[in-house]
Amino acid sequence: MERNLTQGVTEYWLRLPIAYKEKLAQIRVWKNLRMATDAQDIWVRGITPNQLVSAEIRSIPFKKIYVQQDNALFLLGGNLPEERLKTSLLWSPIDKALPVEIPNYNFNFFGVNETIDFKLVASNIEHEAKAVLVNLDVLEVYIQNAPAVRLKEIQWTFIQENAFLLGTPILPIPGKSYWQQLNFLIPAGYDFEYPELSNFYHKNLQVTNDEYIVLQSDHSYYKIAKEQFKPLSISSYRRSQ
Amino acid sequence: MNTKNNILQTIHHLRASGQFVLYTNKPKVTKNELDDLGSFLAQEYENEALNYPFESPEFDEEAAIWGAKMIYFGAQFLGHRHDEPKDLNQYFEEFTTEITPASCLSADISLRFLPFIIKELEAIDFEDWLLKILKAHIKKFPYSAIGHDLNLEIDQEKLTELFQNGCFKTLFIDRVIEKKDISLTEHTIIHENIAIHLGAHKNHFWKAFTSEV
Repeated sequence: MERNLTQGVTEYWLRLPIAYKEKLAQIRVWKNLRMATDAQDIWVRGITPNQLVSAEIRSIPFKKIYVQQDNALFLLGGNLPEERLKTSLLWSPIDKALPVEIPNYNFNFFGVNETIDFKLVASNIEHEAKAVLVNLDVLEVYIQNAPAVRLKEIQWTFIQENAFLLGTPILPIPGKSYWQQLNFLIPAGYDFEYPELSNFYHKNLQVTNDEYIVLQSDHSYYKIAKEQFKPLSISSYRRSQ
Repeated sequence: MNTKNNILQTIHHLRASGQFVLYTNKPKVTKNELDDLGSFLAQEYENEALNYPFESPEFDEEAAIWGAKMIYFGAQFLGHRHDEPKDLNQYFEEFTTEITPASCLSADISLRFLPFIIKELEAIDFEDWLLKILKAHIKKFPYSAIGHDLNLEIDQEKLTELFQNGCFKTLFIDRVIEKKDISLTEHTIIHENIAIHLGAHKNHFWKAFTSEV
């Protein structure tokens, strides 16, 4: 009786002649793929149905797609087994099997004077907030009857008419929140345009270990010395009034 | 400061450095000495009240002096005693006025050190008569006994009444959390309020505390 061959299949296999190895560059970032080679071919397995229909896979030329059924590999859409199941291959993650090669050093490169802009961009990655900038009136209402345990781990200082609170867990009051990377305090929801360069920025701004750099979403920044921070308590708030 | 005023010097030293210095082996207090002591305690209370949440209750001088006398004589008789047990009840008079948040907080200025003396006495002799007297007295002031594992009974009704005062309630629960006195969480009213204080961060602040009773 006829059966639906694709029933229960969750992974597809891809076969590509070894000569076209570079064509796989676009899918080497997919962590779920594993790769092996035999004499003439490259085999990739672990391709999901979603990935199969994506432009990255469909644009690879000279490929053959297989589905596995029992101990045989069927060509996609075919009714007869094409190959036996490959059991002797050595599988490795695709990004390990296809390492990135760095191009040769270009001695004739003239772009050394080019610079990049120091920029913050909206980011999707979630970071735990480490500091909050709150209005003093808002803080006053909360702090007058706050449990001591919430205040204990918070340090605070003044920024103009606002209170800058540093420490986690942050207090449950509205304000602008910041997350910390190195000594940078970055507005929540933002990140450097090139996060890899944060070490470089850190060095370039000559940040010492005794200060925080508070970045703002309009790309300006200001410094706060760490010694300006005082432990937050009800009495420290009342004394400052 | 009047150097002749033994009780004032003792309490001042205790508050400043956490140590006891006993000046005489015949403890006696006069009316004048107690007046000076009262104004010193009022000053201390005012300093501490700056850190109290909500509106802090008025200073209760009677309770504060009573607490100071308690610890003064307690420490004296821990150090040495000549008197017979039956004669010593005169030093530890009953606190007869009604207990209010104000009297709890005022007495606590010196009474918070009493559990340490009780612990010392327990280590020397568990059957000591002085121990029984002190325990009976501090039982009425559960706020000062938090975190010392004294196994005191707690009058829940009285506590509920005292908790009407937001300042006292917050301070009481803050101290339970600070000392991590897990045995007190058996009482529903304390447990509920701790849960409110810790909120969603209870694992961060106090792992051993469970929301289920």
